[in-house]
Amino acid sequence: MLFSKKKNEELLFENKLNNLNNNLAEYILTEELDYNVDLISKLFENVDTYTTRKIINENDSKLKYVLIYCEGLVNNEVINESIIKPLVLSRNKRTKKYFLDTVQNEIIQIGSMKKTNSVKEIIEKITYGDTLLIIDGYNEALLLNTPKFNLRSVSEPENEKILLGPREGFTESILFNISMLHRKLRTNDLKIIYKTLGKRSNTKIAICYMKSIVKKEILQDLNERLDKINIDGILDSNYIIELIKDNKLSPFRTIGTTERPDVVVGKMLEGRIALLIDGTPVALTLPYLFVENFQSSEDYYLGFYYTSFSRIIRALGFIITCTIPALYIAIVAFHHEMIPTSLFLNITMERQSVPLPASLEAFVMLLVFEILRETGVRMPTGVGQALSIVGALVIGQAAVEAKLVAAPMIIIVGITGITSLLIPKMNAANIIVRFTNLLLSSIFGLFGFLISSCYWLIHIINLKSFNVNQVDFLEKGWKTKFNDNIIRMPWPKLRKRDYDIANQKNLIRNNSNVGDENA
Amino acid sequence: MNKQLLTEKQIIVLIILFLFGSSVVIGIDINSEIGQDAWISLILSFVFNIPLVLIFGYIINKFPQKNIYQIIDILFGKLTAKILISLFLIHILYLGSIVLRNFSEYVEITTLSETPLLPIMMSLILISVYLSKSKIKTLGIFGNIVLAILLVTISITLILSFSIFKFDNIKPILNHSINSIFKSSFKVFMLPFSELIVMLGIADLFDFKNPSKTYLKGIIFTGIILDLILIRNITVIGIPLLKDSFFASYQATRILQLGEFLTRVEGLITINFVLAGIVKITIFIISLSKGVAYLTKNKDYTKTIFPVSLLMLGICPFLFDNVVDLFDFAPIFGIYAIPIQVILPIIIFLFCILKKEKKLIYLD
Amino acid sequence: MLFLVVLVMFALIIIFDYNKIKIKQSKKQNIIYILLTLSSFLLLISYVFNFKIPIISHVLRKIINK
Repeated sequence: MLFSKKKNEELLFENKLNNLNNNLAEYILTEELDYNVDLISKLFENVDTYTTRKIINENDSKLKYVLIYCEGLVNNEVINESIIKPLVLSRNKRTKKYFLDTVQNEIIQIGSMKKTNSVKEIIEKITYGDTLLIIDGYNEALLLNTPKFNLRSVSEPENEKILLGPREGFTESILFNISMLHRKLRTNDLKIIYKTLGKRSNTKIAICYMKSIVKKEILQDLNERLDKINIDGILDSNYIIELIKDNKLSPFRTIGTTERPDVVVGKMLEGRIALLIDGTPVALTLPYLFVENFQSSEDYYLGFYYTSFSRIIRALGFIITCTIPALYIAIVAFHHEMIPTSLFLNITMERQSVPLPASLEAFVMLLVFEILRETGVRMPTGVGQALSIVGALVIGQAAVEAKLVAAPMIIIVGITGITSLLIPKMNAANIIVRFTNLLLSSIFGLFGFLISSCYWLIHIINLKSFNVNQVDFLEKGWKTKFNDNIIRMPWPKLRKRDYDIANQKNLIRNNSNVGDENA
Repeated sequence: MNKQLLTEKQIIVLIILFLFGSSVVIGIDINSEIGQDAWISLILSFVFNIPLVLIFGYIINKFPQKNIYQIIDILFGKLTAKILISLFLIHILYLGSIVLRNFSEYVEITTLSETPLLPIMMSLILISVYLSKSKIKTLGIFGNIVLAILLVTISITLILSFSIFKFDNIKPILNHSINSIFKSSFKVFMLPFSELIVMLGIADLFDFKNPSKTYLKGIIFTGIILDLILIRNITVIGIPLLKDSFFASYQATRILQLGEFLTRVEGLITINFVLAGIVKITIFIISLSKGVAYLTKNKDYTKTIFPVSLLMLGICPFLFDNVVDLFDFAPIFGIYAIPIQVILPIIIFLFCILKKEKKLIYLD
Repeated sequence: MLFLVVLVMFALIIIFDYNKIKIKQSKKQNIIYILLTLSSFLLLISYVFNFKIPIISHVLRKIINK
């Protein structure tokens, strides 16, 4: 009995459709099969992948079903074999029991299914690969799980390559990513909670944590912040980062991102919380300390001497890349007396014929380096060779020969550039800190450099990540200070977890009695 | 132990930096009649300082977690408290401007001779304002880092100057009359050391267990370092040259060298002084804005930081005409500062003892 | 004249800060805030234009030297 409604009700219905999201929650199914199918078809008008299929039982022609799904998202085999076939062939009669339960428990041969009443949920699920089964005479429908997507295969993430260790990386499907976490943490302590963010995209995100280790206040804080998000679509993890960050304008990171499951599991074992987002392989970990910028996952897979040394080099790299141009300008332009005389004479000789003043030269060269780096990221591979030749020969060599730029400046810019690639996570911070240091040091000399570094130092000390101070390690006692921050002690010494991040009751993680007393 | 307040170690660090910041001015005492016995008068001024510090410790012990404005409020009546606090605040404002001017002159004379004063003062004030607006833990951690840098630099310069010590410069010892030694130690005591009363202004952010001991430790440590620096200055350069120079440490480090390579390292001394100066000015600003917040019944002291620091900046250029004025004024300042820096703590101390117990019930 | 540019920059920072704070304070506190800021600005501007204002140090010195 299609179109059996009065005309003004129909118009009202169509008016309501215009306020899509606000009113979806009002719609529920009724007991008439035709009204239900009509309702959903109207909502999916002009969606040509939307398919309906009417089924009538072979043995009892009063049992009518309608199957609704979106083509391309569903597994056609499963629908044919496990849904349509049993529904058509079943011999169950409609008794006084709730027939929907009979269908759910005895007829359909699908693994997971759900009863639902709300149209909002139906829309969310149909567009993700579920099939809807509406039964005549009942106001609840069944959602059957039949997805089939084509996903990218597992590969090592490009930005986080390591020498030795597992080479898995996350993919774009949230279920597969969660399965990778489960395989590494085979315990029921790993809790996974789904949430839906984004009004139009309805993206699924998962909050993962180890229940006995995590700190309850941080979890609560995270939930509160996620509930305040009111954006139309979440495409990538950065959308969420910028909406829940603590210090919104700071160039330093307060929430970590990673593409590797072993990194995520390692951090969860320390009491952190991980956020996985559907549609992107980048996972978030919070809270995030400042020292984590200099750490990488393979620090735990290789020996501790080598990794301590690597971490110190990375920290030094950050300091060098932010301060060397500024220091060079301060010394050459203001404080000539600080370098040995012969060196200074050499530098002045080189700079004699250069037209630009030293600070402007530094700015221009650093800008050119950033342009080269950005082009290197975006260009197609065919052009790569030509561009590297252009960069090295033309800009480097020829500029010096044409006396547009002084030779020491090329060295300085080269050092700056190379050390900035040591920590790709901090490229935003690198650029901003470097340029403000350079600016202030070209106006005020060494004093300006001091002022600028003080400002950034105070800024870093002020950073908080979910109410945990980012520079915690500066405040701790001597025993724990050097455990796992800039240098990494060997595993027998890493006994306790971080006091501020983990639950206070479960701090001991390594109690092994591997001693050299028994040597 | 509350994590939001400063711990005992951090308080000691702040005291050291606070007192160290003024060592720029201490060197000038060699001008007067004492000459090479300046180091003895320095030790004597510590001895003078100890009773004052014990008084501070006793007052803080009686009123845990309260700063001096709240203490005065409790002990005296409403009107007296307001008058006393206003006088105190004007004094701190003046003192803070002198300190700021001191540091800016130092930076200008040694490194940036062609920059006018105002931008230098503005940069120092801006950093101090940023530091005061953040939580107090930041100040503690920043102080830790600065002290580490300070100690490293001082030890490097001390070790490097061993090769050019001339012990004859410091002899004959105790050549001058005791009278003049006492006089100059009194001046030294006034200027940098009794400024510790300013630290009382932020005493509600401290987490003391034993205030007197903390203060004493801070002072003794500073005393040793400053004494060593003074001795180094005298022995390296000698009295006649030191009398005419404004900044003794600066002169002393100019002639240090490490082989042929590392020469003229006085830039490091500038870093020392400026960093300690930033911490000192920050403590002044926080103290001052807490006082103004108390007077205007504001609960949050961060709201009054900006106007107060601007006022300090505004007064600064008018204090002295030039650098010679600054160094001329310092001895006189001692006499001018007695009422607030010495008599006020004594009055508070006496009131503490004399007031009856039941009146000391304070409101939170 | 560079000073005036810097002073204008300062003024902008103060106005920005004041806008954030003025809602949370009472009227009296706002007035004191504005008073202090304006007085310091007057002092700074008069320094730029080379007026001289005698402050305590000059007075004290004259008294003590007598």
